Amino acid sequence: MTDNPDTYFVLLFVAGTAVMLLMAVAIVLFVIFHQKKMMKEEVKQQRMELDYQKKMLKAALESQESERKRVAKDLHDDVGMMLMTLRVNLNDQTNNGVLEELRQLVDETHESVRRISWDLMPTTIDNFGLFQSVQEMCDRLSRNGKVQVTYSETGQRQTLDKDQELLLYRIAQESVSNALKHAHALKIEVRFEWIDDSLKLSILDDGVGFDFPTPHAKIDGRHGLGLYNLENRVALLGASLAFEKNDPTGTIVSITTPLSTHEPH
Amino acid sequence: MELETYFLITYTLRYTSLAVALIGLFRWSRLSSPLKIFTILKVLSFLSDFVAGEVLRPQKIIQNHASSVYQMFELLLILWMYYLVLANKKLRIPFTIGAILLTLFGLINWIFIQKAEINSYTFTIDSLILLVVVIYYFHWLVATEKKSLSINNSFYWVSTGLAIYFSATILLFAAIDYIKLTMIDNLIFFLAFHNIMGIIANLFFFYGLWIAGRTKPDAPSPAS
Repeated sequence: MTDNPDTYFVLLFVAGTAVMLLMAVAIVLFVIFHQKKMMKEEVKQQRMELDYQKKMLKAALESQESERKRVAKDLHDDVGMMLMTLRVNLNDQTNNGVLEELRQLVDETHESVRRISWDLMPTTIDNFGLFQSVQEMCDRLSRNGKVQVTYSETGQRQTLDKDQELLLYRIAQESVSNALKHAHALKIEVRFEWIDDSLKLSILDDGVGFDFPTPHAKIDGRHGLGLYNLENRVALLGASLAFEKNDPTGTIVSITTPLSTHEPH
Repeated sequence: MELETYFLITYTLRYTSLAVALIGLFRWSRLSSPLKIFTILKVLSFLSDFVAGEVLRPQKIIQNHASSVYQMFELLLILWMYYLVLANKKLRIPFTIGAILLTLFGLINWIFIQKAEINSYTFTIDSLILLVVVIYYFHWLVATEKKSLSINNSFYWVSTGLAIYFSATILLFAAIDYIKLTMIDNLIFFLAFHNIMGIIANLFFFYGLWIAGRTKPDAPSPAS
């Protein structure tokens, strides 16, 4: 390989082979880089879709809350006021049997309107916050003597924002309502536990239980609108939802909300 | 280059081919159809090399016959393998015609033209065609949506080995007659280079078949 044509050939051969090899390596690497880039974009797209869905869900729930607030206010301010006026006027009339029955009917109607209004939007949540409202809900449900709903709170209380409070209230309300309506529970316990940087809300009942969804299964229409709403609210809180069997009977619904990492929807 | 060094490289190539064939056979039940074909190819590669070195050479029979015959099988098996991986019925006719024509050319070249010489025409044309097929496979990987990265796909590593081997040796096959004519004393360097590229390709093949045992078959045949 000393004469010129051979040296020239060897150089040409080495250069040509090197170029071919480099091209092959470049193609091989390009496939991987391209796929990584595509996958990153896909993840980004999925995240954006998820954010959009969350925003839509939040908007729907906010609209629902606002509608509830309006109906509650109308019931309380208009219908309630009219019934109260009617009741006062009835008191001024001559006392006879028919009037007494009417008074009783008006009282019952007034009480129903107050209850519906309170269920739709408890005034205590705006004035006194989540814990007072839940406690009041438990007391109110226990008042009729048919069920015993107890309230407890342990740990060092921390501050929650209004959205979190309303979502947790609705979750507690929905879970207690499920225990009463579907599980026919006689004893229900609503428990708030402050554990480090999280708040755990547990609703324990002694009812008949139900076939709750598996841990990773998405709750859908088959499990009822109540559970679907429950999961949506839990998702908006950035919390986790768990169902367990209670001992000896019933269900424990647990919602654990991280406080420090909570991203307001 | 010392002859011993050259033989060391040659034996390394032979036994890395055997290692690839053995890992393929060991993982046989977990391999997809194209990888099974590839394993058969590597068994044939080892046998061809073994027969050339241990049977033909001691009996003073020209060893090139073994590689000429192997080359035809290599072409057919690789084309079949990629036809299954690409799973595109439109490729059936071009692949079939290509396989028939190139095999005929290989036969004619072996029997009538280059005979017992290194069948460089066949090697060059086959390498070029197979390189195009491998590049088409990479294009297909990019063009079709994949749910996981191809580095987890055994066939990606097999194709990487083939791409590196064919791209590095195609010029050598094209120039081998010129090298024999003008630089016969240095032929051993070029052959050693060919064998080193074969060893590098075998490392990729080995890794590809190794991960095939850990994952589900990733390039199923349309027939399966």
